[in-house]
Amino acid sequence: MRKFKIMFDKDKEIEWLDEMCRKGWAVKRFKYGLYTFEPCAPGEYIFDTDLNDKGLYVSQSYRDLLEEMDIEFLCSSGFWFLVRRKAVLGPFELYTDYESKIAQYRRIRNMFKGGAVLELLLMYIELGIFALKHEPMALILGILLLVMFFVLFKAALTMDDRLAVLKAKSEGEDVNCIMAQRMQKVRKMLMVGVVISCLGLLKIFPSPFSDLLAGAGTGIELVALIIFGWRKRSRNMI
Amino acid sequence: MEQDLPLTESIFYILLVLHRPLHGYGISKEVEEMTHGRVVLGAGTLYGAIKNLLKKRWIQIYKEEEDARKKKEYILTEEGKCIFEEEVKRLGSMLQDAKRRNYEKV
Repeated sequence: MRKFKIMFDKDKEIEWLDEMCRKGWAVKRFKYGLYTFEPCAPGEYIFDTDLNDKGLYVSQSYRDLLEEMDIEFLCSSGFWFLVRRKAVLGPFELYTDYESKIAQYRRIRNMFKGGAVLELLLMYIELGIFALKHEPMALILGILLLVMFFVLFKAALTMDDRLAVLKAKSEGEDVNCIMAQRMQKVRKMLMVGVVISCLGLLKIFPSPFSDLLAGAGTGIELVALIIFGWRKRSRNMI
Repeated sequence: MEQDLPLTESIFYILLVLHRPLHGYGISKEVEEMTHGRVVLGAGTLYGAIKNLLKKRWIQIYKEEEDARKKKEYILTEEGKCIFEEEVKRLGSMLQDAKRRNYEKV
């Protein structure tokens, strides 16, 4: 059986794969959102996923360690790989303490963040091409890149929420307190955006610089507002 | 050296069992047995820790078997031993303080 599903939240993905396994379908491999399942005894395996330690592939020494620990390497696609272990061997997670979980979520968040920034830069280039040459293709690409930016940015924020919860747990702090601190940071970011765009609008600098400043300021404000809205929403869920 | 302490629980136990050479799986098995399952080292946690400890030179590769199935064994370096001793001293004095406080109360 095959299923197509694009997911940007590894915890939700594993939850889904474990649920499928309880129904008697064990995932065998995945590629670009296409998951291939094979029949299994209900609940036979527990799954987990991790970033490749070498970027696009998994090193032999990591594979050896997985094998020694009775963990079956299923496949690697993109930046991720998928593993499973027999459920009879007990609870299974690749990361077992707060410190390593936090480090891992941070890596994932930074990857999404880097991806989002890249999409944004490419979008600016495409929109610049459209403004200069009026090519419709450039506009379509620009819009697509904007959508991708939102998707990756949201994924990064989701990981950031997980990080806040983990940090609160490991340090015995209140999650709400950590979230409030982060809201403070977003407010600061918004202020910086406003100051930059004001500087641009005042036209102190020669023309292209002022316009660029105004544009950059608006961009920062926009991103801050998205984070603000997201945090407001996700706060109720935590 | 001071800023390396306190060690996390996982790192503490990894250094403790690496006073003699062990390969990856041996580390996790021994720690789990020693703590009666209280401290479990997942493969990702363990792999990250080994990489990190090698980089800090607190542990080193003891022996790499020449077979097709390479199994690396690791062991503490002198620096790793020093760090571990420092941490044991620190934990010991914490325990002493706690006990002393207890006696005073009673």
